[in-house]
Amino acid sequence: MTASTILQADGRRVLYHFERDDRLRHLELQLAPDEAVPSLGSVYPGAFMVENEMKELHGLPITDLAIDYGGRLFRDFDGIESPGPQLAADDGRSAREVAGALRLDACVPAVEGREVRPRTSRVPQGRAMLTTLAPLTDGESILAAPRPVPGTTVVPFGPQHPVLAEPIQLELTLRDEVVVDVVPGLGYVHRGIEVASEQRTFSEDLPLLERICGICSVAHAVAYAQAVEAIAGVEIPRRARLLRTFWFELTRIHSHLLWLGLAADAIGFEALFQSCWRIRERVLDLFDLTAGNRVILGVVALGGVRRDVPLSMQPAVSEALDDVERGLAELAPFVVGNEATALRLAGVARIARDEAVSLGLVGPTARASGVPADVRTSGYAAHDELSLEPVVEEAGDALARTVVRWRELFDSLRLCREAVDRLRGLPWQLAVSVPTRLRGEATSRVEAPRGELFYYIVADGGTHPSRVRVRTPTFANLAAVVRMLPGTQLAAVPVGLLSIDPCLSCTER
Amino acid sequence: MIGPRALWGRWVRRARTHSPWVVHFDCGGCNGCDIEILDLLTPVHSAERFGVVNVGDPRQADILLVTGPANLRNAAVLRTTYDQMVEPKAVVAIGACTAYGGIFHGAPNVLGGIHEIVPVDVHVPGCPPRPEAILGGILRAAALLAQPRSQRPAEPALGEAQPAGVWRARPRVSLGADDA
Repeated sequence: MTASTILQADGRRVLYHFERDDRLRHLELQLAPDEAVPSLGSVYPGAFMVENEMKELHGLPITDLAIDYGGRLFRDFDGIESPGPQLAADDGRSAREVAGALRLDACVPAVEGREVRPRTSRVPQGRAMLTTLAPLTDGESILAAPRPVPGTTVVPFGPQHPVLAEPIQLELTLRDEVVVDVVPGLGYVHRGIEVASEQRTFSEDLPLLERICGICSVAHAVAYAQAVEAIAGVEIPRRARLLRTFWFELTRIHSHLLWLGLAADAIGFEALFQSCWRIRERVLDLFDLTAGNRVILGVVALGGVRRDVPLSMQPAVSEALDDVERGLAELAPFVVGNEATALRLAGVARIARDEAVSLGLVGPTARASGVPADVRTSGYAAHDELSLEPVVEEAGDALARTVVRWRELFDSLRLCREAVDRLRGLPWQLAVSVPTRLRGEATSRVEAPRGELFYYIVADGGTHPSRVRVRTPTFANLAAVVRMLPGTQLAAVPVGLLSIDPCLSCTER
Repeated sequence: MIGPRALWGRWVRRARTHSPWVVHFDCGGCNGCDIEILDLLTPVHSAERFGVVNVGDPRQADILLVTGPANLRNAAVLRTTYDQMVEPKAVVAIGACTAYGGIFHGAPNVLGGIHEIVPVDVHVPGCPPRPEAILGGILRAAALLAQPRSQRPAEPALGEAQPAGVWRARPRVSLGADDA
């Protein structure tokens, strides 16, 4: 279901992580520096995304790729992002600044007589990002797609588009109004967070990894903290587990309401968009009250949580949750069972159940195709005492995904209320201490609002992690876009893309 | 006695500061600032009471809202979006990432702030800033639309949260000299 590459002095260590029924199996390969591996694409079609990423960011040679981006999936320069010898230019600039200057020169003109140059930035000494540099040549395309056949038109959808909140480019090949091929172009949001996290200590990494995505930031924080606590071998207090679940499920509520609003905006139902976000403001008020911030909460700490929901806050919490539930009751006639929304969503971007399994889809996208997989059943945080059934629909189209997320809203409201109720009488212990130097490796999986979020952390005894591997749910679900958009009308492309709840900042890290 | 030409100039400059249309470009941040911008366009923090409309088309917009750090791939896209806008235009940089890269400063693909790619007029600090602060930034930028570019201050102004209960109906802008 995903893979990690760890660069070592004498080559590479490649791990393939497989999951079925909440059990993980890892296949580890030790490779010499230039040894290639064949693609898993013939067995597991969804592997092309992670294989392109490993090839580009870690220089792993992979043969027989079904869709090959030629090293241009995320970035426009060559070179692998890994610890390596510092490559500096003659005038003392770092490797990254030289790359930046080359690329800026190629694409950005002078601004009103002032020459545009990247400013000197502080790159940590001793750890460089690049080993070789090669700027794009003139006319070279970012996407390694073949030129279109006659009778078709290629339309670049994005990266700046009214319906997209984030930059992604879909190169759509159309025959009249019907999409026949789609090649996703990523790289606009790639920040190299996995490498940046190797340069910070374990506790400094928490704010960085929280900001992989502002919508599901609690999910990233909890997944990372769980992995570090597993390496440290500590168990967090029960109060902390319940609080983590409380904020996690609130995150799910706000994320699903956010998505519902954006999907409504995509089909032109502006009033539903405004109403969903108005109701969502009550959830953000709850975040403000309990955590101090509306977005990017910063409540998770290594070893537990940083803030508490005391008894005095609980009436306000339940009142806000009641407001949300009342608001959802008002919206229900316009979301489910509504002919207008159904006409736009039904039958759009359909994925069958066997395709969902073979592509490795996760989250509500998979559950809408009949795959009953929900990581919360594995019992992380407080889910060992707060149980739930995965919400499953069979139709596999955009309407089914809407219904799955709608039903999950009510599940999450119930879980929030139960988590807060069970806080009563628990001792006031929010966190245990985690040592600063850690040795070991651990994986951690949580059910983020978009699906399964997977963290794999390797620690070699120092204060910094030596590898942080993050596999986000939209990364897995992007394979679905390539399969489900061909055959749809051009006007249904925004809805189809939005129906997987794409989060590009998660995907590209 | 003000002549008709001067009166027309004054009327145009005043009109330009009201009801600014914005185009929002996410330069690759974490989406925190982006969802606070969208919060601004929805009920509770509605910016539409100031006439702010989020048009997706840079050719129809007055103000460019940018979030996220610039990286090597979206620098060109940001510049293209800015160039497609028609004068008078202003850029509001939202969040810590647009100033210097924010928490991603020094990360592999990140160039840093956006000030080297587009000229920034207002910067709204925060991670993410509250919708009220973003609104303050947009209104400050709207006030700048009345002035010619040569009169704009070299350093970006800071957006600040509007005091609660105060609606500044007309931005305080000097409509002194006549110019195009």
